[in-house]
Amino acid sequence: MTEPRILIHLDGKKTVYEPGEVLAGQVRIEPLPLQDIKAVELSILWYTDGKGDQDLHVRYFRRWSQEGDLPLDLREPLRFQTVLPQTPLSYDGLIIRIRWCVRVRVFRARGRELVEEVPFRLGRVAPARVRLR
Amino acid sequence: MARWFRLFEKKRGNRRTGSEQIAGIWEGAFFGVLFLLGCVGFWLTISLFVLPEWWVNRDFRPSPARILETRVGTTVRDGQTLYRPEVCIEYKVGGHTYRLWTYDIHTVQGNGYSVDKERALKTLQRFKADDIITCWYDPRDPEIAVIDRGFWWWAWLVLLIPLSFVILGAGGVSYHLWRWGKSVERLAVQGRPLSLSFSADPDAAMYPFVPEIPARVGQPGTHLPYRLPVLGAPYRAIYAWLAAALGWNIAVLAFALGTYYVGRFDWSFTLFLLPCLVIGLTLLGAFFRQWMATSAVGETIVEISDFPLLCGHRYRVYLKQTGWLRINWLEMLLVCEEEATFQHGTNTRRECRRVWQKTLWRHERFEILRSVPFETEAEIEIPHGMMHSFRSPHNEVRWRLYVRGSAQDWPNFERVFPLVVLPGPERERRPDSRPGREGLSSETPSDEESPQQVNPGQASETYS
Repeated sequence: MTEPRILIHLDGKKTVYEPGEVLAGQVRIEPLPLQDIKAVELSILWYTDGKGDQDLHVRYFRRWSQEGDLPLDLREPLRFQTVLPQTPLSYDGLIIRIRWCVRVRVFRARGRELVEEVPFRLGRVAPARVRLR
Repeated sequence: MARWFRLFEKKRGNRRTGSEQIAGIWEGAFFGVLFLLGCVGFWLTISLFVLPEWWVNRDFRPSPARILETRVGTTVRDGQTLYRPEVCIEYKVGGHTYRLWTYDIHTVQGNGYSVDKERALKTLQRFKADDIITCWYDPRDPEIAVIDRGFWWWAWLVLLIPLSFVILGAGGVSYHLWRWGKSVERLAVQGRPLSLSFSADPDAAMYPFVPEIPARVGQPGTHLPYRLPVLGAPYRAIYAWLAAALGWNIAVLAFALGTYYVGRFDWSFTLFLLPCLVIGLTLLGAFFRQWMATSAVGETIVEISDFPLLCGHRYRVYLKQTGWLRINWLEMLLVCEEEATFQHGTNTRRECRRVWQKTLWRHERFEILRSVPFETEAEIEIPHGMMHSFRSPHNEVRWRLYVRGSAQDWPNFERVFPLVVLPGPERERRPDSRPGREGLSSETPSDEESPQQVNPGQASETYS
């Protein structure tokens, strides 16, 4: 049996967004029959990485399920759209990194959940580096 | 398991080495057991102490009774002798005469003992043979009667112990049930149950996760519109030394008075006291030195032309340094730092790393007089493409102004002034920018000045 895949596609094929810009896209899950899926969650979030404990904040969240308010229909791609905030911007620091991504989780009726994420950059902050003289 | 447990080292952060689900099941089971223990304890306390007293006060009926005899009942439990007051009474109910040893409902149940024999004797002083008193009997079983009603107040306190188990256990079980099967994103959106935090929704702010502007920045300056507050008032060190000196010297004094006041002179204690006195005098000396240093250095005032700051914009900064000093050197720096907080086993550790700094000015070998404070102005620019101020629970990017100085006969001093930097508007790429780079790197200085770079070793770590 072919392993199912989650395909996340961002409109405009962009990887860098500006604050206040609209982030939109769609998600396809194939090949997985609808009866094998309990729920699908989509999040647009940022998280920190590096020395400190991870902080995470979800900017946009949608959940489709068989029993929930948003019915699950995989005949069409699942669309999402949100306006990105002014802060925090993506950042590659010395001991702190801030990463933005679109993350999709598929909860299956049997078996482990599937997770896929597509990173993107918010803003154009230069990475921090130390230069030795 | 994903990897081996490190047996001889504290685990770093929340990096689990096993299954989250199995860990959740064990934690839930732990809280479930706690809850059950609490329920059992709660029921036992209620049924043994609270309910009988309530039952006596509500249902028992009065009847006159004659005291025949009194005694102190004893028993031995766990090798210790315990005592209780006992009174032999005689009373009539429904034509029948009953005679029994009693006092209160706990005596009837076989309890009511305590270690305090004097209290039992004192209780019995109220009862004399042949006195007529009122007893209360159980209408369902007149063989049960008491001569003292009321409630043991401490039984209600004892209830708090199993009640705390019930609350902790129920809270833990419900928390794990609420978390079960939820992704970390869904939990982040739904928040924690029973959260005591009343902080506003960060998404509602115009600049989420940017630290709030300190309230004291609203205070207007005399030269420029905004006066910056100073972090960590220098008087804290004075108060700390004063508290240490007072605490130590008072303790030593009390110790000495307690020994010498009774007229006893002990050589060994005197020898022990001498170094304690030396320490006390040293602490007093440190307090006075800190006080004089703070008074001599004086107040440092920094004002700025606008607040908050934007990346890519220029601002005027004004400094006024008061005091009475012969300055070796005095400088002001604009600094960007990162601070990360992490759990190292049971300890919380913090690491700070300086990302970027620029010396705005430096002056050497001059005097500051009491009547003539030192004043200067400078221009600062937050380079375009730098990271804005950011704060989350465990990570922070912050901007600060540092004023540091060295004066003759005094220790070096440093004053820190917080800044809030917002992301600036994106500007058009310069024709001479490096290919493949987005915006200005923190390595690239402005055209006029060459910013001082940070050595990799300029990191600090605190431990708590």
